[in-house]
Amino acid sequence: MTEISTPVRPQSGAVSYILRRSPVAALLVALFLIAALLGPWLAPHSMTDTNLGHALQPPNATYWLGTDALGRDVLSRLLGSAGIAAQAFLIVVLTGGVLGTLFGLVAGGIGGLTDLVLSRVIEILQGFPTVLVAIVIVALLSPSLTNAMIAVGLAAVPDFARVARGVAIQLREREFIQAARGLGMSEMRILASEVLPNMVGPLIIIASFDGAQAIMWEAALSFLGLGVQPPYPSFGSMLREAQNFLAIQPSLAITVGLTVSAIILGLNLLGDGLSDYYDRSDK
Amino acid sequence: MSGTPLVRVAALRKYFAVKGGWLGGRRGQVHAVDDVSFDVASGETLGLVGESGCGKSTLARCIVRLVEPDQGKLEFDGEDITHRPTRSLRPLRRQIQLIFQDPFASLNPRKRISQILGAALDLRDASVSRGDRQAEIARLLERVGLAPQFMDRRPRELSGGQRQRVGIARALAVGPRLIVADEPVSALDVSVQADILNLLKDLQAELGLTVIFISHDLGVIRHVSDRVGVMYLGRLVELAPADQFYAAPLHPYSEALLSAIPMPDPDAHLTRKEIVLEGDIPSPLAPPKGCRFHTRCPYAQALCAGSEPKLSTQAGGRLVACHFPLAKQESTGR
Ligand SMILES: Nc1ncnc2c1ncn2[C@@H]1O[C@H](COP(=O)(O)OP(=O)(O)OP(=O)(O)O)[C@@H](O)[C@H]1O
Ligand code: SF4
Ligand SMILES: [Mg+2]
Repeated sequence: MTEISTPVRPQSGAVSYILRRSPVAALLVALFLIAALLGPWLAPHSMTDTNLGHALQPPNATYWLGTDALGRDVLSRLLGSAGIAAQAFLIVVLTGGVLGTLFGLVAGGIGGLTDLVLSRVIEILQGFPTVLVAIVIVALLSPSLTNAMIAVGLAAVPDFARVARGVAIQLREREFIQAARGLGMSEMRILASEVLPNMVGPLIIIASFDGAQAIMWEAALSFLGLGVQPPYPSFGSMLREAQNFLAIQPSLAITVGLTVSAIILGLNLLGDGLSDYYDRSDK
Repeated sequence: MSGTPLVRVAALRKYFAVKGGWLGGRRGQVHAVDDVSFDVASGETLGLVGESGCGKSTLARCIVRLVEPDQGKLEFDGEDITHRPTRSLRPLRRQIQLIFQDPFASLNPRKRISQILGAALDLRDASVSRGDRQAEIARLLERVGLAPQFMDRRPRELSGGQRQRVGIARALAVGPRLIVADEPVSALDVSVQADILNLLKDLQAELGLTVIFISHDLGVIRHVSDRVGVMYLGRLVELAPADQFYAAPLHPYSEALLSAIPMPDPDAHLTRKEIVLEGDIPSPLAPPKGCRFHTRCPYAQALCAGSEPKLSTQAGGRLVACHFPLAKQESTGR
């Protein structure tokens, strides 16, 4: 017999857990958010105006992080790139998250034949090189960030679907679901109002990992010239431009590289921290 | 207690297929509920008792139709609901409510108490305004002995007893006639068990509820029941009015269960012998042939292993399934 009559100590929220346990993740993600949301207002200079007279300057009082080959302020362009990265994040997480959660929730929550069919679809989607195929199509038709990121988002559908399905299956026989059923709630309403709120945590974890992936894909595609088009900045296009001047001004490539790495690291650490948090609070 | 019973269970059966082996083939069937029959009159409290795994919860879930019986018949208020499909079952669900054993698992951890009770109230009548809804939630909480402030709490901030009160309030919210309480106090501290039992008793009297009260503890059953049914390995082996049952059980298994409950009278053990059952409960995958209790029964005879006794009426209208029911006068002397 379990002893459960003593009130359980209220758990600390996810945010305060992350602040305490992974302050680095919290700091990096916070900086990324600030840069992405407030970039245009924080940028000390124009992101696109060229000034050849000031090209390839090292960091100095006017240009804190120096300038690129066309004399544009690196800090301002990094802030702009963060905004693009955030867009990539959002598109991927929304596409993958909404579709994947819907698939997984219905498959796991209803079970039976529905689950069998949806699970096969998810498996096929997972085995399919969605991103590569999509990139080819995007490259042929029209290079655009949105299209490319929707493709990456589709590739993320199986991740979200697997997690949502797992949670739904786990919850299906739980007593509070049975209680809802016993009250006469419809199965769809049970899924939406009883099951869904219980998978928010695990889904956020997937979102932070797949979102980090999204930022990497965006950088890679823009590096190849398939994403954001010049003169607008993005981490990928900045890296490509910096590559040509590695010998003359290596700090340029290093700055950009470090920034992307820091953002991806921050998101991955956040995902790890949240997994720990939910592992503990589910006990 | 006359007229049609509110609940009629007739030869009800529920087996679970057990998959096993690395090919996932069928290994056998758990005989969870096997040919169980009884009636429950309106306003009555029937206590069901039995050891862990004897099929109490399965029977409870069949009666509230969270599980569909394999065979037999289940009637509620004269209507056959044995195989009624989920959709047309919904209006009926309001009349039949289950109270769960584990009050932690039975409340959605992500919801506030007001949301939990509000959702239940909405199922009865969705047209109520927000203000009235709040008032109704407060009234429900008060009815189960909780202050209105509990509305804004989440389940994890409540003690087990408080959570079970919320579980009861949720069941009451839809205005049921029948409550099936599946071990509603087993998970609670002994100190709060009596409070919850009294609450259930008060509500039963106040609202004229019919209650099926399940427990593995005859001491708990005694507090609440008008009649007592004893289950063993999926079978109902005895059914009797509570006073007669506690005074003189007819089935050897009932006697053994009764001998194990602590008596309020400290000298009682002098006149009463504790019967310790030998051996474990046999597997419900393969219940013993003949009388299912014969492997542990102190009174077993040759006949018992070969032929299974049917539940049959004894003198005084009591029901027992035993070839050699304990005679009334003997039950304390043996
Ligand atoms: N969904 C299921 N699938 C397979 N077997 C099950 C299922 N539910 C119950 N059983 C089995 O049926 C038997 C009866 O279980 P049930 O939960 O009804 O017993 P119980 O009397 O309520 O026991 P407890 O006192 O442990 O709650 C057990 O052997 C159990 O393992
Ligand atoms: S039939 Fe026989 S074995 Fe079964 S309970 Fe009665 S005496 Fe015991
Ligand atoms: Mg049980």
